Amino acid sequence: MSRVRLRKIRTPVGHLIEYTTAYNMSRPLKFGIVNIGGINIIGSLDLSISPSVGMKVKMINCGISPNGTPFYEFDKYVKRRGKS
Amino acid sequence: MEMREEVAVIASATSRFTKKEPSILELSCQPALKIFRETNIDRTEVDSVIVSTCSMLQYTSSIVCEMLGIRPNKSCRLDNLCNSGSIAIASACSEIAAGFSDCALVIGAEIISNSSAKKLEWDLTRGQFNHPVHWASLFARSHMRKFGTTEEQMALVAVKNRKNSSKNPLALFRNKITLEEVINSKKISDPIKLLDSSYVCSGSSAVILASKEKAKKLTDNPVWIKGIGQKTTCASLSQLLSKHDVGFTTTQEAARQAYKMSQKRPEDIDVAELHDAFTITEIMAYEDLFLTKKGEGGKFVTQEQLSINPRGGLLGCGHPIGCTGVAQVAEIAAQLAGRAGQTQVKGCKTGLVHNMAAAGTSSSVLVLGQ
Repeated sequence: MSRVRLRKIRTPVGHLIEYTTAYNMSRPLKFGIVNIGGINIIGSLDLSISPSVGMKVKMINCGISPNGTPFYEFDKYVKRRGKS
Repeated sequence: MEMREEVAVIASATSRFTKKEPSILELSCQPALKIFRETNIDRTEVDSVIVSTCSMLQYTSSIVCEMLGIRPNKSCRLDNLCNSGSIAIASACSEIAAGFSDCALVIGAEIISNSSAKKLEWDLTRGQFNHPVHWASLFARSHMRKFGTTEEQMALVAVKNRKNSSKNPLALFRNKITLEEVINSKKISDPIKLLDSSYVCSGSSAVILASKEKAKKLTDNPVWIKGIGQKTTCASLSQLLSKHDVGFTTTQEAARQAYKMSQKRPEDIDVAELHDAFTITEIMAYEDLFLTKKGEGGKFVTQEQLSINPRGGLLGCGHPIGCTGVAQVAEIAAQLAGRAGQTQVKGCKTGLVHNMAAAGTSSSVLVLGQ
């Protein structure tokens, strides 16, 4: 257990390593593998975005579905503009 | 590393692979009974038994021993998902090489309902995309993007392996398929389609390994285990698929070890059983076993120098998870002993087995020879 470290990530932003579309879910779902702080996580991608490898994405939702399976949802990361 | 004691495969047998749901215990016994029936090997010779299965049935190996009428010094069950079978063979080989055993029976058996690898629920980093087809499709996309591999090249793997399985009476799928049928089959996870995927099924296989001295006594036609390589890097997908590498690093490392131990090179291999759970994994295996250069796996499918998956592979035979690695070794041993029947590759002298689990987080490579 010596290598296990807990980290709090303020902004869950990562890079999209690869993506594709699954047709064996309840509906076709875009999904991808995202590297966040050195950890790869597979999650669904918002259907409205056009994904590209290397794109910055933000985790917008995560949790446990009723069947006990974890889920992660990502959307394109857009940096907020500062107040003028 | 080198093998301290020579270890031989002295007999092997495999059951018919099916979609039926037989008893895991009866299925486990079938190929072993066939060996005892058809060879001069007496069951009292066996002093170690390993049963490779993902079945959670407690005490499987001892129950199987009782059913077979074997009283070994040691019996155990082994589970490492799709990579169970070859690890069981390697473990039995280690016992013999170390002098703990003279004659080991390795059984691989699986029934559809206990094939836990259908979903990898323990890996939380995969989220809801926890079916093997999901990681395979991500690898396939990356391979296509970086190396220009095409869906047609992947489909050719399925066509080739189903052509081979059409000659194998034990295979789940006995019908040939066309390139168009693969390309037009149902999309599962882009670009992987139904016919790009192996089918998890029921099946069993058994291999008997022996020390040099015992092999001399029990057979005139031994096949020697020349080299073994094994590597495990992690269990979860969280550490795989970096942006720099589209390959199975565990397979690469296991292959290096196996080639070194056997003092063989990739070009020495005449016949190979590769882990074609999906068409893309066979293409990646060509590269990771150094049979071709990185990125050229797609073009390697049609090469004719080396016979790959002559029994039909996982795509043609089916994929009974815990049995697969044992069945692969059984096939290569049969090939090198010249008893592979309709799938026999003429003149083969050196063979290779590649078996892996869970997105290539662990791999085994064995080199066998006459």
